[in-house]
Amino acid sequence: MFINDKEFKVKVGLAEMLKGGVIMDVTNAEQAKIAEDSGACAVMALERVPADIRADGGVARMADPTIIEQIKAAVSIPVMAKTRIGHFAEAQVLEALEVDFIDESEVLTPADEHNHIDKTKFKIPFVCGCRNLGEALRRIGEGAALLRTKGEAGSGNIVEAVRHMRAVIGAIRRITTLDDEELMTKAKNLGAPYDLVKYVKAHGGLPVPNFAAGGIATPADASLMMQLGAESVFVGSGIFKSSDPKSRAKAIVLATTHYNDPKIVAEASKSLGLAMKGLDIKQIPEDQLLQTR
Amino acid sequence: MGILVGVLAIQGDFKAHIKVFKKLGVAHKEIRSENDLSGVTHLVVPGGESTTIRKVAKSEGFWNKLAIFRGPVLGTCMGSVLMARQIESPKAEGWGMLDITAKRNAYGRQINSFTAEGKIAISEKPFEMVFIRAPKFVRVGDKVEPIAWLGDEATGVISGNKMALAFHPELTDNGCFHEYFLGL
Repeated sequence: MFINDKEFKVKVGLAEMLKGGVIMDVTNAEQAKIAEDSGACAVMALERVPADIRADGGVARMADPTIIEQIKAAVSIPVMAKTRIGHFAEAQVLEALEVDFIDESEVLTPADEHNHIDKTKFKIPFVCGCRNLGEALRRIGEGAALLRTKGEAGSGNIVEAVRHMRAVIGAIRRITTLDDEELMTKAKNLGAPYDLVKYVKAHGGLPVPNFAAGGIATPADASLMMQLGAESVFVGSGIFKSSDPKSRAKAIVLATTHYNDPKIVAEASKSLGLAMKGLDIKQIPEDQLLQTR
Repeated sequence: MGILVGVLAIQGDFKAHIKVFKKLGVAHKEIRSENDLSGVTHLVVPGGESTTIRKVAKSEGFWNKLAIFRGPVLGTCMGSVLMARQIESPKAEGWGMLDITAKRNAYGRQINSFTAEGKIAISEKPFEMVFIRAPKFVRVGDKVEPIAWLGDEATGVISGNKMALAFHPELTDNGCFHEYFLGL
């Protein structure tokens, strides 16, 4: 299986380097610089943060290459960028632009409602969102080198990210208790590649890192996700939609490193101004949920 | 006194190093602040982003304590950069543990990341070197000894009990550099 190939090792290698850190959504070079100066371990270049995509409507696409180039020039940390689900031509463009990671993201308007990109065809590693273990293993089967919870992007509400992280971690735990004979049926029920289900049973975990995303708005949100088993956090609208992005960015970085030390998380949470307002998930009409894409 | 390895766990692939020490059966702990350093005999600085480490460690006054750590230090990739006297691209301050100049991301971006077999001084056999947005040691001081090479270029150096590797032995199954480090 390709997960033992050298090329895949190099892709997962970069994901390993991003552990214990915060990856921040940015829409221009100035925000990218703020993110880097605040201690972000990578930035995600996009045209609009998820909260604005939600508010503005319309088709959300890959960011303008000019903006991506400007962000690349502004910082020395890895630069990621989002492609629409299934839009392999956008992904090819991002590869040509030499971004460091591609996020095949439900935050953008899907280009293909049935198929994801064959990520093994790319030299740049991909990150994909997931809500449960079946989805996680399908994305790895397609070549994703990093997973993240989908959560509900642009909501400022952590509830969906928690649901998705618990679903993935809990399902991994349950697979480790199965007999070998039960694994094929499990693979069938999950809709997941059999080899990867076997891998999960043998190793008690995924062959790629698993980060949190979708709704993180406060230092305590970051700490919560890390304690639930996330190995890093993506923060989208949470930083640049808050009243004091610089302070909030620094605070979330500190809380991610020290997620197990409530005193430091408490200290980091002081005087940050207003967090983004956020949405009750139940108030979002079902057809406007991003996670079901 | 027994060995206690401290792995800097502010950000980066610290878990990969810990896995190696677990396999070697060596006592180890994660280091996130100054207090965690107590009792640590050997310090490991993993791969990751140096700008993040700088930000977090400096805001806590922890940076200088790391710079003057007297015991053996192993730095991989970003770790090797922080150990350097000078850092390039962009210019930044290092800990000066080794008289070298490290240039960050010297091979290019992730698309230029790769693995290759290189020569090492501590074993006859070639070693699988994993380079992820790796640095190069563009200047190596007189008192610093190369211990790993890719072609003619030094990819690993040592000076006294300080060892800096531009690649990631912790991402391979070969623990020979970690074992060697424990003997420093």
